[in-house]
Amino acid sequence: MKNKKTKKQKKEELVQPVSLKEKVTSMLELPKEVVMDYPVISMVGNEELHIENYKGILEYDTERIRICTTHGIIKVEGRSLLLKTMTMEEILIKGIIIKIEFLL
Amino acid sequence: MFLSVWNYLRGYVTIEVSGFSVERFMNLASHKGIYLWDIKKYKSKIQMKVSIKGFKLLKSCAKKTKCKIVIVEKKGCPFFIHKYRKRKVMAAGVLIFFGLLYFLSSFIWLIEIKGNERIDTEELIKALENYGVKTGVLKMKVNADEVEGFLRDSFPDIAWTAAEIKGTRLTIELTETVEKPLIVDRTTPCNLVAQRTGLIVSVTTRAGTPKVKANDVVKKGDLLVSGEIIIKDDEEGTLKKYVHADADVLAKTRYELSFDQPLYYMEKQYTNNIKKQHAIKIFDKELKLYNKEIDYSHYDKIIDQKQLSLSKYFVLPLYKITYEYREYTPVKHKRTIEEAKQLAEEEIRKKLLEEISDRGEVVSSEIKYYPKEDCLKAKAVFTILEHIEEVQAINREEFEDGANRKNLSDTN
Repeated sequence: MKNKKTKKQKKEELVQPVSLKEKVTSMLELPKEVVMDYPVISMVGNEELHIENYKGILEYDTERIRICTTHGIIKVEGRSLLLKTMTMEEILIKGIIIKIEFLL
Repeated sequence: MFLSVWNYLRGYVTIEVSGFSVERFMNLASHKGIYLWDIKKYKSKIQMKVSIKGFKLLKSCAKKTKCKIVIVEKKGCPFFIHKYRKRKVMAAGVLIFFGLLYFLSSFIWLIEIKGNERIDTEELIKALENYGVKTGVLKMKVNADEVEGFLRDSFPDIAWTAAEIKGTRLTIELTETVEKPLIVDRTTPCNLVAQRTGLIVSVTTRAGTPKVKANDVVKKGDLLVSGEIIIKDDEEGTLKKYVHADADVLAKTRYELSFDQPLYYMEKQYTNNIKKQHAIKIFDKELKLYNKEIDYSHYDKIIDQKQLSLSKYFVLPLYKITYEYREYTPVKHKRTIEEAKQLAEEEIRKKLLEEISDRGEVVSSEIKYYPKEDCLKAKAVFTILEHIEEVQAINREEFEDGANRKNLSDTN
């Protein structure tokens, strides 16, 4: 499974940098998070981070959390981080957030 | 806040997960639809909370990911009930508590009346009591609409009422009618007589025959203006007509008032010694919580009674009473003659005002003081200018007689 996916991604990157799906959604102004399955990230100050449309957690520590999404990996760094809630489609991180990084 | 209450009611388990990849375990759990919350790292292990239902499903996840689950804490209502499942007396107690609460809330424990100004509250309460509405009566037996009707029927001064039962409180709001002006029946013939003894100053007649004139001295009950008018008086007979006499009769009247003003008076000098006693009243029974001896020779007793209630609408038949005893030492003081005179005059004027109210005005006043051993006697004579007429119906027989005579004269 994993091999297939990586191959597909590679193919897409090689053939065309902007996919047809993306073109259509930007043309019709459709919400990207629905069509493209992008993650939706919202923050309250630097204390709460809310991520929808995630795939899973890769790493959890009080200083660092890595979350896998369709758009790559989101790395959150901070202090005394904890996962307030965790359901199938959303995750809520609480603590003092210092850095958010996208690893594509 | 709301979510935590809900979670508590459903019951939840705090677990500690350890193993090679706890993240995988968490992913697997959330993909299965198990709700995890409050995930935090605690001493190299990860603690999280999960509902009872979810916990049962977690076991397969743990097996797949080779993680170890240890229960740290169980919390919530289901565990609480499980813990006390064998304590029947406690369960009975809880049941009795709620039963009693329900039972007590089916009575009326407080009647509140708002909006009455002229009608005495106690009178209303007494009337309601006779009707069957009083504190301690079953709520079911009280029909708010009927109570409204009863009050409106039995008190003609009530224009509008609204009775409402809220919890254990019966609130009655009412509006009184506008005071009816005194309607004088102009059709019944009557005379005007003197209300007081006095010297007539002026007579202004609007209807009737005046029998007195200025500078006349009249006694109480004397006829001032007669309702009998003689229209014709000759050999054929007298023709009389009876009217409702109407006149302003101003007269000078005399008022004699006296007042004893004591020269000595007591002043309370509080010693700041206060004793408090608490009591609880259930219905009409009073229970003193602990007896305290009150050994003051002179004291003020202040009673503070409060009705207890669970909420604004659930008033209980329980009263908390606080007695406060304040000790004082009486100190005797003597007034100077001047002070006493002033006080006596004030008192006499107050008395006069009570008698004449605003019917008359003071023409002259004379106050004499007679000092005595322990008091100052004040005697006052006031001359008042006031209306002294009073309506008095003409004797029926006399009137009938007159009417007959009139008939007679008519036939003539």
